[in-house]
Amino acid sequence: MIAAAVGLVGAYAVGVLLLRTRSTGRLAAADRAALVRAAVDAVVVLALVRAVAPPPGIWSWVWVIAAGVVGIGVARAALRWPHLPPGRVLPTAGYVALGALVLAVTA
Amino acid sequence: MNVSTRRTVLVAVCAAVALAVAALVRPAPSTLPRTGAGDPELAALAREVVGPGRPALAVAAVTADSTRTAVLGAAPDTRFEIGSITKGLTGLLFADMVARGEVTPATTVGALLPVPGPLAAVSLEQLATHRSGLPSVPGGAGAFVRGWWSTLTAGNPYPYSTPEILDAAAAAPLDAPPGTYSNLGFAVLGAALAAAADRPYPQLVTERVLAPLGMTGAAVPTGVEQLGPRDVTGETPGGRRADRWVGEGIAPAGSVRADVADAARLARALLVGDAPGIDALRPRADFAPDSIGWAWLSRPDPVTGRTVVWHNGGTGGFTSFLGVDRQAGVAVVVLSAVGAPDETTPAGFALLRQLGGTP
Repeated sequence: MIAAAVGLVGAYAVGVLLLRTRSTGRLAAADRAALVRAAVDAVVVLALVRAVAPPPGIWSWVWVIAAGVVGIGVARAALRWPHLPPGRVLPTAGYVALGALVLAVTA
Repeated sequence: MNVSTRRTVLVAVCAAVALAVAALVRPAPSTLPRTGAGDPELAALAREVVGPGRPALAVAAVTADSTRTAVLGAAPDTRFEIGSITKGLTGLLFADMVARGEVTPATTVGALLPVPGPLAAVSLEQLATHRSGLPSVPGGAGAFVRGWWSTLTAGNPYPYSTPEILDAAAAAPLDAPPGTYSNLGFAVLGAALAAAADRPYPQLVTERVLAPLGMTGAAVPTGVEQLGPRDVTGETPGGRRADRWVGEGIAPAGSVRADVADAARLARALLVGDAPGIDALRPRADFAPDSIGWAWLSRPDPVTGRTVVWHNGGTGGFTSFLGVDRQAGVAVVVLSAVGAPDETTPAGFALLRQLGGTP
């Protein structure tokens, strides 16, 4: 039950990142800050899954594949980056710092 | 290279880098080497039965006349956290002190320790059989936050001093149903026995149980500064390095470290019946699906029908099992350097069946 819930949250975060990096659509990022937040969310969720509810056995490779999908999302974000306005820089920087703190704690 | 190709290459490179990094930090423990020190046949059997997903594994197969050990992924004298098998040692200590006339099963906590409230009326036997009403672990918001922080950081959730443990126990409601497995209860039991003998628990259990058993390499560390190169660091199920679980307060419930030879000495003494406080193994109460003595559990193996006396242990980075099948004349120890899920207990029972023979 917990594993299923954790898997859904992970899939949601990774899926949102992919949707944010699309160039069209309702969920497409309107600015760079939205791209950064989506990437931070996906990375932090994967880190929390690894720390709190690591998928057992063969399922750990699903986590690796999810990380690869995040890599695709980051690449797509980089491609969209030049075409978007910056958004709110300071709050986004704080968000990134908070994400980095979570990564450090759960490393 | 046109724009479309450049985009494809960028995406492929990012995905490849992410996959490579993720494979390095994949949420899984290290893998055992194929070979190790000691008995090669036992090493191969243990690797197969317990599984390769752990950085280090030590096993012992013991009879009255022989002891075979195998260690994979670590030096033969590496010390593992034996976790709650420590409770079994505390049970032996309790029985030994009863035999010496220093305490009785009915001696209350309040007769030995200055604790307020209903905890004072709890008997040592109630603590030793998980019938004190104490919860499993210290309660309260602080302990809750500490537990979650430990989960996030792979930290030690029990860095309590003895006074802190006694305060937590005194503040706890004694409403847990009989048979509620209580780390807190065994911490209080150890503190009470130490008070009765007027010496710290680590010194007491060493003098009365570990030394007579010949477990000269075992230790009861109460701080990380007492650990050395022999003390392996375990991993969480997600492959993170787990903090060492040491602490003065929780020591009687789960802080002993031992190498496989020392754990085998304990197993042999339980098998042949010459351990100090051996009466601790005698079942005294129901602890479904087992019966329980003073810490030690007994159950008929569903396959062989023979009674197995056992205890297991689990810390952030270790799981352990010690089981004794007196009818078959076999005892087994499994020490694994990876935390939950507990794969060592079913593996320990399986090894007991294989080594003891099935009827």
